[in-house]
Amino acid sequence: MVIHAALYPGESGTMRTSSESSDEELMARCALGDRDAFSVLYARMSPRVFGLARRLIIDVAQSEEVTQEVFLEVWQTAPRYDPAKGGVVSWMMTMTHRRAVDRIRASQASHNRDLKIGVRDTELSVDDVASTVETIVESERVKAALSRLTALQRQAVVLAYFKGLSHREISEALKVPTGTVKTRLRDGLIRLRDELGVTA
Amino acid sequence: VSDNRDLDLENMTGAMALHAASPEEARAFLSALGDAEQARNELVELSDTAVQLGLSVREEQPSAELGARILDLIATTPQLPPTHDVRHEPHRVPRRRRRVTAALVAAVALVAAAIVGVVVVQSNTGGMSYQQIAQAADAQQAKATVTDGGTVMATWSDDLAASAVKLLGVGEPGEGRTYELWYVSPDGSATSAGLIPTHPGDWVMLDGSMEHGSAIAITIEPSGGSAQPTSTPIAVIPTA
Repeated sequence: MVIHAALYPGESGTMRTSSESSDEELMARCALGDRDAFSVLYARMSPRVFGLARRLIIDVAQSEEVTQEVFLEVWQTAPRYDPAKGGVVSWMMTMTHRRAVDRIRASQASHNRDLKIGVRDTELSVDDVASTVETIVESERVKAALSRLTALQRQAVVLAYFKGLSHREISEALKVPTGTVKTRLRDGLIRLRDELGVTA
Repeated sequence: VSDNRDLDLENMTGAMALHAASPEEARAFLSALGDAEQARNELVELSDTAVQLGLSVREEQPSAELGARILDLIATTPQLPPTHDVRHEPHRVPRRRRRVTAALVAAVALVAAAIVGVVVVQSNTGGMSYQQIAQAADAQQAKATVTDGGTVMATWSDDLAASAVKLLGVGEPGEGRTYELWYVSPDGSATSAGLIPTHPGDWVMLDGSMEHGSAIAITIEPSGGSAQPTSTPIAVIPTA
């Protein structure tokens, strides 16, 4: 704390913050309490964070709440952010997905009701998952990679990631054992990883 | 890999990366992960793959009001102090492993988050002795493992609103540093409860009065102590 006070005497204009700074530079400045840097990071990342939250939660107000939670956590934990643990974008998108999924599970009762009412018919079928991908995935590269999965792998991955279903919910909806769903999720992601050339 | 637990561990990486596991499963997975290097690496890679799915979604601009509200909020939101790990062990652990370790210590981070808050330095034990606490009708005792090795025991009495700790097999905090005690109240605010003297050997009384439901925490601070915690606790003992 003493170190921070010395480096950063309460003014935000001492260090230059530009829209050309890398995400990691911005985070380093956020760690010193630089609100201008945070503001640039917000402008850069909020459409991605909000876009993903909306895709999962749909409801605008709740998606904004998740967006707010994510950015407050980014601010609070900025001094502990370690670039070696993964990029800023990955960190924030993972956090967003986690919080959006938590939000969905928190309203589990209505979620279960939705499943019974007919999400199964309109969104769970292999064909409809394919059209979901067509509608919501903008990146041609990711679309192409998803098309290399088996239909069952793609169905499981899409339901888990874009609908926020747990493996247990998927297993109940598709009437297959949870172990089978876990295997599809894993094999599907491994295939995607290889198609997209993701390395740790 | 012959038993079911191991098989399940291997099979869980996809569900973990997609946040499709229950909290109980996630905890069990992370604690069973241990040194399973292959599963750790796979989890990191599959999580990064899931991020690619997230980035493929159409971006959407949130309302200007939300941005203004968030910028207002951070102006009054305190930041966590940096952790020891970040500053002192940047190159010792392989990158992949450290990334999973980050997930493993999420629970610790929550404890640390609870520590940030309004701090009021107190400096008296109210003349209470360890004997008085130990002999109180509602005296309770618990121990916790210290992250750097050793054990800390705590004895407390809600009726007396007092507590004491004893370190067993805990090393010195290091040159120019000291162990500092804290009461962390249920609302998350931390109050300094004094310093642990060098070579205590016996029970150390905490300063101030213990609010019901508080946790006792110990951090390493610069000599002389800090008005508020500046590091992740090395031990936390809940009293409720």
